[in-house]
Amino acid sequence: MTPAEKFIQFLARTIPNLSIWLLIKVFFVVGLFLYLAFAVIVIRQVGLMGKTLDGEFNLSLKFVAWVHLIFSLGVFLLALFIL
Amino acid sequence: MPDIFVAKSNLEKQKEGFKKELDEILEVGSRFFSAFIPKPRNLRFETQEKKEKIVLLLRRHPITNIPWILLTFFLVFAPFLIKSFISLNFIPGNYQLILFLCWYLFSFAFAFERFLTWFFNVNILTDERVIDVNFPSLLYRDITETKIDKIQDVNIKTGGYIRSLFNFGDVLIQTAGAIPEICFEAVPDPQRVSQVINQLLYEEEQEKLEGRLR
Repeated sequence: MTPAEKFIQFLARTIPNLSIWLLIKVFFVVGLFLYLAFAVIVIRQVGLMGKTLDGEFNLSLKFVAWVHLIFSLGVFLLALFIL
Repeated sequence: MPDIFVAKSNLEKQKEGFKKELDEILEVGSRFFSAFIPKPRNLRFETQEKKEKIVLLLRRHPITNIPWILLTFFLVFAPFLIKSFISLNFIPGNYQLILFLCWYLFSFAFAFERFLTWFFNVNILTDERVIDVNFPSLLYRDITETKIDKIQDVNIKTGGYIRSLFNFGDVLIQTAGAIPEICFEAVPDPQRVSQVINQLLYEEEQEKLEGRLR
């Protein structure tokens, strides 16, 4: 039996035992982890934009970006534990 | 004998005249919800020199934000609409909650990104330069600038129902520099922007003639 055939047999044996909801959980957790990376990029970018144009409103925007990151982290942890 | 009265020289009178004219152009009208800001206070940009003064700061007309604001409203209400048409009982409660939170995270990110793009995509007119700051997306920055004395021609492009109604349009600035054209897109009151640029150009030419170059 070739390694590829072995792998296919392994998948055929394992997949019926996997719950569809577990797959969806993995999908959610991976997606939210990527979103977390995006939220960090938003903070960095707001900082860069604020450096380019330094005005009174920048502090509020930085605050919103940080709240967004904290909220994303909260949802990620919630998905990790309650799903 | 000391002079009791010294008349102002023609040069000084001319300088004052330029300043007054520029102030008159800038003072008329409202601030267009911060899309047309003459002489902004407490605002600096990255490459601003010490003596350089911002004469005018422009953004796209606020009306250009309407499509994404409407889309955001739709995104906010969409889960309730979907719930009223389709039963989601086959999804467990905890999955529904996470789905709901994810939806609002994405909706918020969309609205925030669009707002940031509008807020930081600015056109700046200083007494020395014309600067066009663009953030095409969250990851890219594009800054174009040219000296006032490099400006060769200023064109205004308006047209269409919405642009005529709300008085906004494009201002195309042709230059003699490496960048042949700078475009101020969808800025409020393009006529007045063009007047300001012309006024700055005259002032710069006058400075050149007098030999007070910076």
